[in-house]
This record gives sequence, structure tokens and C-alpha cells, in this order.
Amino acid sequence: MEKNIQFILEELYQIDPELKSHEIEIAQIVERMIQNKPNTQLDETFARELKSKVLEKFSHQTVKETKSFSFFRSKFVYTLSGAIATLAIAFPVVYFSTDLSAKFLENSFTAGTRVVRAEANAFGPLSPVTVNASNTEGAQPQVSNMALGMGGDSSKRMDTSMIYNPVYTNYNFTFSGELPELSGDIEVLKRESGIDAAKQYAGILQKIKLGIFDLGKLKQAQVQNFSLAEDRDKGYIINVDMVGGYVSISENYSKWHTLRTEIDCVNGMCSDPNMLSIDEVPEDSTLTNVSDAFLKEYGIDMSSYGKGVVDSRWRVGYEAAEDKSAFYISNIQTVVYQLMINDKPVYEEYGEPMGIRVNINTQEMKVTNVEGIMTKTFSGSSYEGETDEARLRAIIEKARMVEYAEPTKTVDGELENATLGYMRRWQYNETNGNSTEIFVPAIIVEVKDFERLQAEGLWQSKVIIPLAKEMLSELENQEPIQIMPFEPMFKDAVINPVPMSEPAVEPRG
Amino acid sequence: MPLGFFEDKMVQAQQGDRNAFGEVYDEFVKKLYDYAFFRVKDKQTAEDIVADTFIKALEHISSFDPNKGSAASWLYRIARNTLVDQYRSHKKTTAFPEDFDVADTADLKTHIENRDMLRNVETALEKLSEREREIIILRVWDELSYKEISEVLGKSEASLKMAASRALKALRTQLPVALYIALLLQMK
Repeated sequence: MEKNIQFILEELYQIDPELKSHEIEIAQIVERMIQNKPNTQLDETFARELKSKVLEKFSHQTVKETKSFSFFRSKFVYTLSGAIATLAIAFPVVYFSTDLSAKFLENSFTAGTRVVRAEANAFGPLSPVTVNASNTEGAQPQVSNMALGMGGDSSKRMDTSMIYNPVYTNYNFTFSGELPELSGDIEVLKRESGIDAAKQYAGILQKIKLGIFDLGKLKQAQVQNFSLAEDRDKGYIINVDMVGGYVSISENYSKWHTLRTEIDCVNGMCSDPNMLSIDEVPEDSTLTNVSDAFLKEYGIDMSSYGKGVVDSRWRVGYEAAEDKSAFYISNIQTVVYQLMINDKPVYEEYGEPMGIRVNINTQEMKVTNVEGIMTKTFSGSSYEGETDEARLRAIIEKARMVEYAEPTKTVDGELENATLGYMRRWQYNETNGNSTEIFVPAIIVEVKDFERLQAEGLWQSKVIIPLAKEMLSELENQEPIQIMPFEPMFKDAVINPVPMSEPAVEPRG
Repeated sequence: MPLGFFEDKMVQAQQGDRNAFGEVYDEFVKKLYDYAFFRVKDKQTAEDIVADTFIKALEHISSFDPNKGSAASWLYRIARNTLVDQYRSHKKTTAFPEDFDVADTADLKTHIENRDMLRNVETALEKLSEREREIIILRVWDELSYKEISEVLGKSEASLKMAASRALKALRTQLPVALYIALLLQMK
């Protein structure tokens, strides 16, 4: 019996096993049907002329109706009013002249993950990676009398008794665990920009003649971004970055009057209403519930993200602070949803999970802003992966940490649980000045006994080692850093500490 | 999940890629012609249905959603709707006309045998309900998967398989004995 007939029958046996008892006759009937399928002839002239007609229509397709679209499947509704309407949610004018155009944008911001394969090494040389001094506090000098808050708010209360007394720590890591299965051929992903959509929509807007300005006069125009605002109490503003393919949500400030209160001072005693005591910090589950509900309410596609995890890094500083009551705990707490690609977690180069960040005002228990919503359309290209385990182990043990020529102290640590994931990296193109986002398969290694090392000043709990061979040499050839002697300008004065956002050592490029 | 080849082409076409739509056309024009022809048995009518199908597909290309079904099932569904419209407007019957347009063969005897056999198969299929006949033809002649058939007809895969099973049993038991013997003899 032909395989095809057998397959047709097997499908049916699964649902009707009784059919099998007549297999011979049934198979003959199916075989006879297949043999007698009418052998039609398509008129080639007809097919050619129809194709020509269809493609011509494709090129000139104009559609009559105006169409709304939604990035967020359910909640946001676009209105056609120039003024902001007082609907549940209302937005400025968005006119689309064609169905095709609306779909074009929908597909540019489509949900889920899409990978289109390109040829090998299609993204050119992968830029060398950097060690962590340039982009994280993980290897920064430790402030001896830790009193800095690290919550979501940028304002920090300084302890004036704090004197800058840098501690230069070298970490001596060992790794003896198993490595995940390695491949000599890895697929590097590049996130595609929304540049085509940006041009498409400029073309549509340019058909609109404003009384004071003719948009049609712009040449090679792109719609780079647009914003939509909710005209309601505690409404939101959505910013859509058409070129980068990013969407962010933040408070519509004019509608959030009750928040932004000033520091209240009575009889010389001041209290900051945006500062929480440790007892006021909500449970993690409470925060994730608020965040989950918001994302669901606004229909934000979370199909490629892990569960929400509260960012509790501020607790490092809190635990280290001598005067905990003076420690600034922000009323803004953050829930992070890590991006998953091919079911693997994505990390920033410096070990933090990369994904959507939801900030919550814990006093209002309302989401204030959401960052990191992005399109997930990628090009995939194969690159040579590192399979030399000895080399990888040596690089893992360096843990991407800066090494000081004259460290204040050296701390021993262990790394464990090596798994596979992705590392997000911004790749700068010196020729055109643009940056692209690439996602490189990487080994993710955890810092064992992280709490002990936290107390020693280590910030990151994971080390990310890219597996692209050409990215590794930079990580194994680091020269120790020479520290310039520290001399205060005013020896008898109280010296402000160096802000945490400014590295005390020159980062290596 | 990565898209299938033609689903990806459809998405590209939605984004304005004319050539991508051309590739979809090349892949499906003959299949849709067969689909129409098997049902209307008339070259001109089948061509009209194919033309209408592609024009409608183009006009409604924005409604294609690769997450909801394949490019094939989407196009077949349009073709099926076009066919239904055609029946409604022209009230055509499904009987095979005498001039059923099978491919030419050099051998007149073979040609006649083909025509006769086709008529026998058609006679057998006429014994089925319209729905069963539709499912069997979509699966055996049009070679759509049950998943795709379910997307075309809006029925569950399980119910389609059950209907197909019933149809084949019916073909086995309900065929006139003489026809059934003839079928079996011709198979040898």
C-alpha cells in the first residue's frame, strides 16, 4: 500500500479503529480515488494574465475605509477626533488610508517572536564585549559605609557622615560544574527595526495637508514616534517608537495630580512622602499581582516573557546600611518580566534579566510606567561558536570582572549551574553611527553563595559569557587596572561621595 | 514559532511586498483551479472562481493572520466562499457534465477509460452527503491536512475525521454491487 494511502487511513484509525477491519477495501477505494483525480490542465495564458492583473492591482490597491488597529489587543481604542475625546480611553487622530497600511503596522508590531533566517555571518564582525566596569556597579569600588538606596527612584539621600573610601576588590572565582552542550555553529539574532513601517506611515501622513504646513513637502520622511494619551484621571501616555520598534507607557502627568507631593518639613524635621519604611514595602506577590493585572488589562503580549519578579536589589544597600531608618526606600518598586527567546532567558551583558520592567507606585498601588515592550522580529545568522571547554572555563572564571593591579582585597567565590541563554548587546556601527541590537547565545553561570559576596560588594548574581568565538578574546586578555591615587580637594571638609552612576575608574572600551 | 514559508510570504505581502504575493499566487493558482474545477467541472467557471479568489484575497489581505491558520486554508476558504456565491447566483448543479475536461492523452481508449472511471468515482461520491464529499475531496484530491480542512470548513478536526471515516465506510457499503465489483476489477 502506498505510504500516502496508509497515512490517510492511519489518521482515521486513530479516531475510528473499527475502520481498520475493512482496511483492504477502504484502501482500494482511496487508491482508486487518488488514481482518478481529474488531471486538469490550467490554461497558462489565463494564469499569466491573471497574475499580471492581480499584481497590478496589488501595486495600486487603495482601500476606502479608515481602520483602527491595536498594539495592545483589547484596551486601547483609537478615535478619529482631533481633540482628545473623553472616552474611557481616547487618543489623538490616527488615520489610515488603507487596510494594507493598518495591517502593515500591525505586523510591524506583531505579537510573539519571529525569526527570519539570513546567511551565515550576515551581521558582520560581532563587536568585542566589555568587562563590567563600564556598565554596572558589579566591579565598582565599594563604598565603605554603604548608605545608598538603590530603589527605582533616582533621588537618593546621602548620609553626610559618609566619606568616600574606595575599596578595590578582586574576585577570585572557580568553576568546576558541568558545561551545557556546546555547538560549533550558533545562531545570532539581530532585532529588526521598524524602519519600513516608519516610512510607510510617513507616506500616509504626508497626504494630509495641514493649513499651516504641507507635510507632503518633506522628503524621505519617516514617522519616528507618536504618543497617545488617555484623557482621564490617572490615565497613561503611550509612546510608540516606530523606528526602534519599542513601546513604553507612563503616567499622563497632567492627570496624576495627587502624586508628586513635596517634602514636608515641620519644626525642622522633614519627611519625604515618596520614601517608604521597610514595613511599608509590599509583599512581592502583591506587587506582581498589580503588575500582572495591568499587563492583562492592557492586553500587552507577554507570550515571550517569564513570570514577573520583583527587583529587590535595593535590599543590598539596605542590609549594609548602619542607620536603616535613614535608608531611602523608594515608593516606586519594579517588577521585571524576563524576555525568553527559544525558551531561553535573555540577559543583559552585566547579568541582569532583560525584558519588560513595570514600575508600581506602592502608595497608590498603581502602575506608573512600563518600559521595554518591543517587537520581537529577528534576523538569524549562524556564527562560529566556541566549543573548547578549557577555554570557556578559563573565561568563565574571570567572570567578566575588572582586575585591579593593587586591590584593596581579594575575595574568593565559586560559580555554578551553567545553563544556556541569550545575551543582549548593542552593537555600534562606526560607519553610520547606528546601533543594532543583537542577541547572542551565551552561557549563564550563577554566583554561588551570592549573599556572602553581596556583603563584599558584588552586585551581580550571574555571569554571562557569549558563545560566539570572535567575542571571547577580549574577555581573556584584560590587563589589570592601575588606580590613580585618591587625593581630596578639601582635606578638612565633608566630601560628597561619588555618585553611583559615575564609574570611579575609567572603563575599558 | 517560526512561520511556514507561505505564511511568511503572506506577511511580507501584507507589508507591501508585491513579489511575495506573486510567489503565493504561483504556488496556489493551480491548486485553487483544481479545487474549483473538481466542483464546477467547467473550465470557464473554474477560472472565474480562481480570479475572484485572488482578487478577494488581495482586497482582504489584511485579515490574514498566520496565528489563526495557514495560507492554504485561508485561500481555500475564500475559494469556497466564492464557490458558494457562484452556486447561489447561477444555481448550478454539481453533476458532472459530459465534457468533463480531463487531461488529453494520446491514447483514445485510455482517455475514454479515464473518463468512465472518473464518472464511476463521481457516481460513488454522489452517494455521500455533501459534507462528507467535501471532506473526502479536500483530503484526497486537494491534499489538505485535517487541520487545514478544519480551518476551511470551520469544523473540528475530530468531527472531520469521523465524517471521513463514515464516508469511506459508506462508499464501501453503499455502492451498488455492480459498481463496486467494477471498481475492484479495474484496480487489478
